[in-house]
Amino acid sequence: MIFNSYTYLLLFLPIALLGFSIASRIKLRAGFTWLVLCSLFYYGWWNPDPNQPWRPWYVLLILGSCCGNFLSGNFIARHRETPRGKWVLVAGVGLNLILLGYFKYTGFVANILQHFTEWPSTVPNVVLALGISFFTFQQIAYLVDAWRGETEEYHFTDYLLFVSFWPQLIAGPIVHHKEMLPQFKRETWKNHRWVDASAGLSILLIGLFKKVVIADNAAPIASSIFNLAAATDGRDPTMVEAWAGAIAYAVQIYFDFSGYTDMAIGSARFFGIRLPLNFHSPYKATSVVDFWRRWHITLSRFLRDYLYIPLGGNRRGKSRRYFNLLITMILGGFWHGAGFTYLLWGLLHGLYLCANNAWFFFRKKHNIPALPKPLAIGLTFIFVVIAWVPFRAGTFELGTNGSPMKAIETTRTMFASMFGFNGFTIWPDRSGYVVKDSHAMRACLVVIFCWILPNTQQFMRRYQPAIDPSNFEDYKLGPRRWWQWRPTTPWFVFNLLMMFVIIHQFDKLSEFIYFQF
Amino acid sequence: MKPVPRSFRRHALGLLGTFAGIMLLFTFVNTWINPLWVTPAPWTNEAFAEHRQIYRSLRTAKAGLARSIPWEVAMLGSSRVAIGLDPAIPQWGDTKVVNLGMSAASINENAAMVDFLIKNDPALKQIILGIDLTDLTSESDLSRGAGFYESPLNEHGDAFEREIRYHVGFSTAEASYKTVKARSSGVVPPYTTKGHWAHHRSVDPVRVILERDSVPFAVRYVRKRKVELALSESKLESFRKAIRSCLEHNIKLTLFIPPNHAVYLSVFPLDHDPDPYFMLDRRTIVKVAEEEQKNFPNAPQVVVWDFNDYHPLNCEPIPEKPETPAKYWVDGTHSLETLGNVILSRINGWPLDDPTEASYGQIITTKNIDAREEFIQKGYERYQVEQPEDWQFTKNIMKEFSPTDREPVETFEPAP
Repeated sequence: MIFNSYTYLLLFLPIALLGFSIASRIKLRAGFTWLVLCSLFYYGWWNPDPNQPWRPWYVLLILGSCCGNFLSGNFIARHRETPRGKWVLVAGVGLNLILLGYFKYTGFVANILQHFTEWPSTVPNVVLALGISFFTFQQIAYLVDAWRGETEEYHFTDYLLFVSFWPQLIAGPIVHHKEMLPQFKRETWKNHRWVDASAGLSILLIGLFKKVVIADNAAPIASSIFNLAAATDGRDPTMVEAWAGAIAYAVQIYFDFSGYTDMAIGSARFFGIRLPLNFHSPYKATSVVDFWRRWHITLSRFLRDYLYIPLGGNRRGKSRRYFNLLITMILGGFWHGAGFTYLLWGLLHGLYLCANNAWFFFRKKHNIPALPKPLAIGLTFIFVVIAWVPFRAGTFELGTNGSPMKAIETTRTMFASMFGFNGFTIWPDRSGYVVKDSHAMRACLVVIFCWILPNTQQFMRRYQPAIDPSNFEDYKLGPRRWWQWRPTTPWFVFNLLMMFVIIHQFDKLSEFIYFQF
Repeated sequence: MKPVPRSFRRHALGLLGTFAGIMLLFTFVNTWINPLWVTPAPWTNEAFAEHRQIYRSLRTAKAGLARSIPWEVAMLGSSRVAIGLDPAIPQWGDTKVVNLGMSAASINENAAMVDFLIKNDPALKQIILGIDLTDLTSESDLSRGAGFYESPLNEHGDAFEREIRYHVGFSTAEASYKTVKARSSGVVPPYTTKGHWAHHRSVDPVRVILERDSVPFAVRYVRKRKVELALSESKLESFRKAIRSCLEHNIKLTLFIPPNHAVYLSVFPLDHDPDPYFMLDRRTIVKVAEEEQKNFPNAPQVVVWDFNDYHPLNCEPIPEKPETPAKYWVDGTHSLETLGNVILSRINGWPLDDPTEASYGQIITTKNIDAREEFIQKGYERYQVEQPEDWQFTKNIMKEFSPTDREPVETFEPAP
């Protein structure tokens, strides 16, 4: 059940809200228990093989994972600084990673083994459990923090809700126990019910607009051009086609994922719960370092706190710092997908970050002024777009029919076309059209809106729509602007128009990119 | 505590109320008009039936049409079938016939339609299935963008979500609006109540469409086929499945290869296609049909008709003047009902007075397939000699397009 479905918007969300409203009048914990039940129902709605009858295995998987981690976390918290506590920590983190590895990387490893040793004869078809990449990270963070003494004695229902709360369950944001669990103790939501409802609804609408109207319309442009590069169609993409495909994908993935996050934040807000910020206009970044402060913020935070810093971070000299950056980003890439092109995407970003840091030091040492902001934004965007190429090509190596060679070949073809190795043709003749030039141009120009418009959180700033773990200056409460959302008539009309456009575009086939991770 | 202003409540309730109102309105209108044949209700007004505007959601509507009444004969295939085969010609008599051809439908989608029909139509006796040449030898499948996955034909999707969408969705509401508009203005919709694409097919002269669409389309195909020409495993499996389903349920299956105009066909030998007479497709079709038949010896005989050659009806001269319509052709790949009626007559054994029409098409088997290749090849040679202007016309258009820029790969499979 995706957020942009009638089942979710017309049935699930209203019923969940009604039940929560009734149950929490009796007792707040009853309300949260209801939300846990709703979350498990939401998770269980997913059936990886609709030809087979529904089976409870995946619901039991997430329940088992929650129980195991909750008990382990409590044990670790009580046995900090002891060998037993350390063993349980290692075993807990290890088991989480084994579970993730089994579901996510079995096919990938089996493919490699088969290629080199002809064993196994058939690659096992392990269906990736929905959201496992996200809830595994959340719980690893919980265990590590229990060891560090940064957890409290949480109630089991609260813990279950922290992990399984459906708005963030499938594709993040990767929530942290310290920002979620304290919210479950507060009863302030009752006093702000209508503020939460109207703000949540507006954020949900913005998210739906991003996803349904922008991302889903950019998707066919990007897909057609990447499919052209992947297929043996008798021609490679032209130079402009290849750039258009890569930029259209940059537009698609940003509006898809940030739209999803907005819908998650909006849905949670209906229940008075704030999720953490996950995007902050990443294409306005003036450097790749800045980009990673703004893109998938909760993943960056996890990688920083639980991988980069434990590896030594920047405390052990420059070369070790670069090494740590590379390792962190490569593993970050591998987390996104079990494929070589995802590794390549991670490696590219690792190299960008190393180069970026080296440039900072060099600039500082030689007193070189920073690049003009528009130039810095443009350059960063180009580098990010280049890195999206292997990331998008990675879809060709996911699943049982996936082929690493096809993904790598697609990446090579796209790069060759983008950098002029396949000639400098602008657009193909009409016997070769896969996308009309005007349509591709329109999709690419959307990026201008990313540059000139405020983001959802800035629009909704007066009502603090999300928790901001990065403390962005322009997100803090500050001077009020005319364009910031308020429950006024002009904003009502704007929301209404947005709703009409969404309804108009709603019936297309749609999937979220990050569901596959 | 500071009281929460009423504006928040008004804002939220206003938006939610508007949304709920729109959904209720759509549900009523969509069930009253039933524009896509998938939202029937006791209060549906059948007076809208012949004005239903189904072309934007063709897969959904054709599936809805398929399950709307118990049909006895169903004609399946791509737009070639949708345009060419008329389910309402008098020769059918009282037989309930439906045209379920869907634009750009590959064998994957048609196999899904066969299954859907068998599940939903207990009266079904015969299926006439058009297999386009190059379908089995191309992985190309446009079902994603064509609405297949949003339709009831998709067995793997979320059927519950789909049913809600049909009732409250904008796409159905839009079709409802167009249906009401068509009824009030007396405009005939493209598709009849029997699924035949009978109106609003093209406004341009044949010559223009050949130049603008048909020949570039063929050039693109040749370009792909030069790089890779192999049977698609998934489509082959779908093809087998479609035949097997019919045989299992004792449904008479007639396969046929729909015709293309000679201008379109001649692009393939002119552009040095690796299999310019599509023998890999033809041989595969007859071979698979016979193999599957062997497993069901008591089931009705599967017959394969081939109408795709350089027969005079497929070589109809291209009208010089834009205002002169062709008798048999819309463009290079779509024939009119005039030719469709000949096809149906040949398939069903109905009499044809015109001797040229009476010689149209051949039944092909593994036994006569070599002779068929020779026949087609000779037909092409004759076409060059007898209609040099049209042949030159094709050559001239082809000059506009750039040649293949990728190296061919060794994937050509010999015909089975």
